[in-house]
Amino acid sequence: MPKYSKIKKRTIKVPQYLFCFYVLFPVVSAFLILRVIPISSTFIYAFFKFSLISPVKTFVGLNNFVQIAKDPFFKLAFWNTTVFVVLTVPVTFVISLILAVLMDRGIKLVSLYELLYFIPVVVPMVPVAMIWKWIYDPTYGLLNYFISFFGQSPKGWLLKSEIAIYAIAIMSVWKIIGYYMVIFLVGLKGISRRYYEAATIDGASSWQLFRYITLPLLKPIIFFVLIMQMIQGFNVFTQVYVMTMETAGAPGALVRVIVFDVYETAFRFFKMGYACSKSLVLFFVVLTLTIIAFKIGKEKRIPRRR
Amino acid sequence: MNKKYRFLVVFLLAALLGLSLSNLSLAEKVTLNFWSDTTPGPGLKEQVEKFTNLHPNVEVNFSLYPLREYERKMALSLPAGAGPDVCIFNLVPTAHPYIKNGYMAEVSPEIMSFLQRTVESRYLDLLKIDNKLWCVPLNGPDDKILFWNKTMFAEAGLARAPDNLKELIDFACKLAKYDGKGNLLRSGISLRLSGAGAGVAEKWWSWLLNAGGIVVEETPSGKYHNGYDNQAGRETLKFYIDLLYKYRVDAHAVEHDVSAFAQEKTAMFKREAWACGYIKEHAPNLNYGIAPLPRYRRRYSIAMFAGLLVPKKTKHPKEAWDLIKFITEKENIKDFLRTTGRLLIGRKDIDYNIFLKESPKLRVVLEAYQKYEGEFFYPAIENWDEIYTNLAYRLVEAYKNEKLLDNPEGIAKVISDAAEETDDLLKEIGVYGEPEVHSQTLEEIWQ
Repeated sequence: MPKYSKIKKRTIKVPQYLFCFYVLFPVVSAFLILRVIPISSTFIYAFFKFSLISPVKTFVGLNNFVQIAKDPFFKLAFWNTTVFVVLTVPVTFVISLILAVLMDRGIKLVSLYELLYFIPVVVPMVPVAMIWKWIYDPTYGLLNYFISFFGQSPKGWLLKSEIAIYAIAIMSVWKIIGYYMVIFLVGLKGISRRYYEAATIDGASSWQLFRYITLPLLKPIIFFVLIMQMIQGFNVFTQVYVMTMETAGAPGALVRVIVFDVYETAFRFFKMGYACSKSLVLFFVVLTLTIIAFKIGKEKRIPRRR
Repeated sequence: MNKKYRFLVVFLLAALLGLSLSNLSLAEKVTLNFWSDTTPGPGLKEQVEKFTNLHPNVEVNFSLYPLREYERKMALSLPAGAGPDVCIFNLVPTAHPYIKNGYMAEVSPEIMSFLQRTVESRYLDLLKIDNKLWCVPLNGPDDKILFWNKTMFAEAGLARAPDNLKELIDFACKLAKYDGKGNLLRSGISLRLSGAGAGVAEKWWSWLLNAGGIVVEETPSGKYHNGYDNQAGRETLKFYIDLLYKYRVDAHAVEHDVSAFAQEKTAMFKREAWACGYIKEHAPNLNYGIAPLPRYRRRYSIAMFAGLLVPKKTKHPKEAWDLIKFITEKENIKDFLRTTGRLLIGRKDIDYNIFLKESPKLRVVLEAYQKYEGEFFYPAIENWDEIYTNLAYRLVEAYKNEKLLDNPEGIAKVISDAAEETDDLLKEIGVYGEPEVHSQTLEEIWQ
């Protein structure tokens, strides 16, 4: 190659690299500072014992994890969180899928329904939780007022743990179904009409169309939705905190969830190392479930015929 | 010189001059950050405004936070070298970890002589941690008192507050009201049955104290162990369960605490003197009385002082202590107490007779305090919040368990599990000590 073109190639590459560096530097720095470093620190501090207000950090190995295994409050939180996930994930999935299928079929006023179901999604969780807290209020709540028409006595919807978890799950499902409905809708719009036309010609019923065309072609979206719901479910905190904590009438720990347990351990009892170990347990639980979901959802490869 | 450059030079010189002048004025003016939780807020704000009017070179940024938010902000900011120049804490418990870890400054010599002049020595001793003074008391000891609705009592043919536990149960049964279906409409006594903090354990502790027990007991060697895995602890839990499920004078679904009392949804409840201020604001016509807690084996109260402290990191310690001294000087502390409805016992320089003439209710509060045979303070251990909060969680669960009614084994299991956890938490921080073995019964000890 002639010398002149080599020099021209070098002078063009270096400014390009510099440009990439300057553009990416703020974003990467922010990502490092706000994500990578704190998360890495959590992994490291999980093996230490230290208090938020004391500078001394002592390496304790797996001691924190041994303590977690014996901690009744963490076990309770884990159980409550699992119950919450088991309640909310399938219900949200089914309702949002049904709604999406109905919307896709072109029912009347579909835009209005989309708006109505999506409004709870865009409203922040805190005011929504406050409003539902009042709906569930044992003395002044709308729900008790409504059931009084059926001869029912007032219930402490957020006062008894066995009811409170369902009450919070109902509110959580109501808030999020619009979001997953839209995701399913996008997936449904991506399925070619020709498949349905061809199947209809062959005499397929509505259920068969749904079972053999819609569901298989929606598989990637379905697994995305399930994984996202699981992650969100295990990270539940805001609505539980707002609706059940910090009031004299609240059930306190009885609707304790993992993230609240971590929060209280870190910022109330100042046991940062222990809180980090609990976060790590949550991380691995969610990671394991995600890997399992991916493995189940992985499509079988049909080997090519040669 | 070129016009453009001349202008640039003049501009730079002007900027430098302006900067140095502003730095000069900044050096003269001192800014203090004063953080507090919301309960003493209005009273403190008044004093801060008076202080800044008298000291124009000191600007005080006074910030109020809800209690739990306040605790978290302090926990996050002080270790990071940030935070306020003046703060308020309940002594001993909440301030203790910060003092132990070196975040708080000892009182200045000037403040020490002020305290020695104005505060009774027995209260000064109570405020010491590691034999040193770290705060100026703002209010306390905030003993627990029984509020009773005189109108409801009169309707039930009762002329006075209950004096002992048996009377308390009898009176509560007469005062409770039910609807046609047997649901409780008005509780005979409002218990603290739920909540997310150590308050549930503290309220239970009040009754436990009178039964002869204590949550965390100190050994002669200065160590600690649980003081409720005994007859007193079991009886106190049984007391709650009986009130809920045997006598049915309180229930989870009814409203509780001072708000319930102000709305006349309960005939009795137990709180501190600050509740007088709440009732004055929300139910000024409520006809109520104040009494000490009913006696069981003894009549004791839990007590706590709130104090003003200066973190070590402050750049203006002199001004910070001056502000604290100003707020707690005789006339100013009286104004603060008037505004907040709180009490401060143990000041040698305050004539309480004159002060109490203005507030008849506070006189009754003081009279109630004087009937106590003794006071217990929170233990000076750094994980007291975790101990009391975890105990609270177990108690909340127990209160919802109707199967504990007439179930001594069930009650004993709840108490022993909770006590084991308390001891484990004490062992975790290396302050556990074995309990003494008593050959006497509780009745013999407290006769």
